[in-house]
Amino acid sequence: MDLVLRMCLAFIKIGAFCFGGGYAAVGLIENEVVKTMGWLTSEQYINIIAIAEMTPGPIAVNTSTFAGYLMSGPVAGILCTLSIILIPSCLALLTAFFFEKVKNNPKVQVAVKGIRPGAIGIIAAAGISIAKSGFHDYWSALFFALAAFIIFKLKKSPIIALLSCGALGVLLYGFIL
Amino acid sequence: MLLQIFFTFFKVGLFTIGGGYAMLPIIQDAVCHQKGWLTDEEFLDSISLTNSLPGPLATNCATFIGFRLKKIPGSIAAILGTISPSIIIILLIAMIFNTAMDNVYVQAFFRGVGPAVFALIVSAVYKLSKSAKILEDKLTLIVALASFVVIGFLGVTPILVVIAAAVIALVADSVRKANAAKKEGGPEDGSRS
Repeated sequence: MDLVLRMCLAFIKIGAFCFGGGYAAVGLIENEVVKTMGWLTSEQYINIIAIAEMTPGPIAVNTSTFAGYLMSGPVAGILCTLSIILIPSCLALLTAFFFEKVKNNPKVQVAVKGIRPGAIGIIAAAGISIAKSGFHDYWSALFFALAAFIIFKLKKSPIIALLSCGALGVLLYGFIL
Repeated sequence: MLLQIFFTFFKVGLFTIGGGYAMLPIIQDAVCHQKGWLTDEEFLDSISLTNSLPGPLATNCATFIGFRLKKIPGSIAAILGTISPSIIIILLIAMIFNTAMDNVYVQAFFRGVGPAVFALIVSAVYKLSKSAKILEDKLTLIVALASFVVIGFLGVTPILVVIAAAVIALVADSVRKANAAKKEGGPEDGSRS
């Protein structure tokens, strides 16, 4: 099958199961595109996440566009993005259409709440391979500590953490080491 | 009107960094306060509904609001408005990305960023765990840990985990309700559905 078509199908599937916010999408895309299909390397994917977080717009959309582009060019980038939002958008349309009927469906609420711990597992599992290729040397522990300090202690935005670690990286790897 | 919808959501997409929840107050301001298309209450309804759907919250919310304004063409205008800034900016970056990565300083930058991305993942797990109140409910904790292990170490597809988690929650909920009904001294079938 044509690569772009297979990518579209993969992203349609990811979109349908992508509960729990942007990082759930990051986890699902990692599982499909890096682990299962091997279309991108883990190193490439880490850079994609960093840029998706630092640029405007939803993280899932940014990640899909970037991943699609790196796999097969600009058209693939656009198609992957449209694919990941296809099923969610259709569901949102149905929701708008049957507004009153779905307004307070307790079963849906229970199921959606129940998926949340599953989404935690999906993100954490993606963290394994991200840690494996994100940590290059002993210095990496320092970068992780700095990022964690900025996010958890200073409660600053993730973008500040990424930019600080990047700047320190240029200083350390570019000039000192 | 369609153009107005497109550009309103285009602005929202362009000016929100961090995605999802960061976008909501900006969408609300644009749609409810500046344009007066929806009341605050209608907006909150749209969030609570689209929040239970899969996929990016921002595009789901845009679809919903677009539909209420101008049916399906409105939805499409709102979706395209939301994703266009992302697509344009990311494609521009992606075009120079491979060339830029040949530069030693850019490489050094991303070498420093790698561990920070892991910190972002840790933070996402932490935030979601907190909002799911993972330590207060044993079942939630078990499902989260089991999901992590089967996906991370046994290679189970996350899709299966999503389905299983939903089924477990529904079963646990009906068991809980059945037990509660028993305690009250008799089944009250009429009240549970």
